[in-house]
Amino acid sequence: MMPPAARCPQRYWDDVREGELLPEVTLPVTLSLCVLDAAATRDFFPGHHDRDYARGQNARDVYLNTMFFHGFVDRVGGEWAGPDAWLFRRRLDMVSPVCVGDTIRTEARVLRRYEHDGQSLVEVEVRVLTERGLGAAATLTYILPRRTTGD
Amino acid sequence: MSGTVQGRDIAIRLAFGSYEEAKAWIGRRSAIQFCEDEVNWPQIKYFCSLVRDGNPNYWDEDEARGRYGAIISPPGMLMVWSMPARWRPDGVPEQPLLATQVPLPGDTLINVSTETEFLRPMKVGDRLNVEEEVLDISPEKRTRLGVGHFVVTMGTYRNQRGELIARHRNVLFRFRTVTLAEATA
Repeated sequence: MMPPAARCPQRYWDDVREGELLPEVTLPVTLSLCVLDAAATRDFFPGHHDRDYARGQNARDVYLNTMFFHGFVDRVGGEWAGPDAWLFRRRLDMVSPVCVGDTIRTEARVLRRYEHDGQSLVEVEVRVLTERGLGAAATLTYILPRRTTGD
Repeated sequence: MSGTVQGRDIAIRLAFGSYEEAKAWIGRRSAIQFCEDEVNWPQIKYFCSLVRDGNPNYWDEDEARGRYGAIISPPGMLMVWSMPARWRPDGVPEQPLLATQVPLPGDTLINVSTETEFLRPMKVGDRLNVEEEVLDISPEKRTRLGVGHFVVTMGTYRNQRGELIARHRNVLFRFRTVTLAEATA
């Protein structure tokens, strides 16, 4: 078994480049995933588990909820940023329902690296795509540790 | 007036009314809602298994204790902690979200966007509470899904010590679906 440090590398603010790409993550959206979504987020709004209801809403099938996308984009950003990063702000736009049968693929990159109020920040964009185009888009702002203390 | 959106065996209660009635809700605040359960590790692992998040702050007690003193909740679970129980022995569950209590014509809803600031960690054992405010309600708009109104709310989350945990701005679309005949009219 690999030691934890090797499984969870830490990003330092000093090493981040604007435009840097984050690893792609893919995930097939199955009915089982939607059931797990409803249970794990305690969200029993019918559009997330009832096909007739979802189709009545003009969606193609049951679709993943907001809390799934929160957790999923945070995972994509967090795997890159490392366990010492602090997610300070997240903006998420739900563009189009992501339904059973779709396959999720992420495109993520560093938009900005800057300092504010003595904090070392990076802004990461995560685009969640399916075969049909953009499903959701997020901007994540992390506080990252620095290699040097600066004093 | 209120009504029920019926999906086979599950009901979402909505309040119905005109846009004029809805506008009176701008600036209105909910009572403080105390979350049903404490922040707890089993639900954290359940959520992490959904999005496949292996962050040691959620899985490794020693590592998490070193950083935060306890296993912490993923930030993505903020709204999860405020989801009410689906049934209670003492009657009806708590009203879920302030946005569903705003009287509007739309018979269904979908979430559109969120913006959240995270100020302190949510630790296992914390019991959160949330206070919501209606910030804005848009005039009628037509989207791909139907015709309705965008409802903007702000949720302020605190822990049992009254410390600010997060501020969460939510936009949802409260709409009625457009039939094929209406869409092609």
